[in-house]
Amino acid sequence: MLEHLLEQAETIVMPIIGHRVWVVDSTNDLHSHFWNVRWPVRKMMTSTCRIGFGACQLTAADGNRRNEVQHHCGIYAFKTEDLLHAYLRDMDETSHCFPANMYTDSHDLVLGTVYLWGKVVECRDGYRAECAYPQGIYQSVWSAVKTTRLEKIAKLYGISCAWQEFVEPGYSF
Amino acid sequence: MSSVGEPQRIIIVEPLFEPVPQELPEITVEPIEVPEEEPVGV
Repeated sequence: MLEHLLEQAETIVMPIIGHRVWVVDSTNDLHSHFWNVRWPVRKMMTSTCRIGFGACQLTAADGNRRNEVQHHCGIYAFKTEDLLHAYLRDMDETSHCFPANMYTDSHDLVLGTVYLWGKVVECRDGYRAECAYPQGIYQSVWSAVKTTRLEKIAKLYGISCAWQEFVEPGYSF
Repeated sequence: MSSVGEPQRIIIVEPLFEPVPQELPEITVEPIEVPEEEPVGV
């Protein structure tokens, strides 16, 4: 399926911007909220195949893509902020609290935007990308991280930091 | 299905430059001595 899409792939020169969530550890490094993956400071984040065949659409270097259909590899981001919030709300309602990253044991979520480039699989609600770097982070009702700490994280990664007022009608926290 | 839904298309993104900020060099500012000017009478 993806091989067919690859044949029709278009090339663009501007990074795609997506919306995502990270977990921040005690040293202010950003981590995947799902995997044991730290986002490197001032270096691009690169997707690696977690299934291990090395045959993923996003990571194959040898042209062998026989397992690509089963893979969901890539750096994930949603197309819009609303979709990200819907995902967080779904996680919250499903598990009654957003799960801590089991690797960092941190509940400190940080929301933001992210540059995506390389080979990017556009999906219905978001993207799975080969390369990424945070574009900016912002204050959110989903995050208990204080502004002063957000500013430290932003300075560390060399990205923007913003306040954001987001109150979804009819939803109480 | 993953959290972002079914794949629709693949885009090859080749940015003109990687959007990764570099470390800025430390900049030190030396104070400049400004000579005092003689007061000018009006």
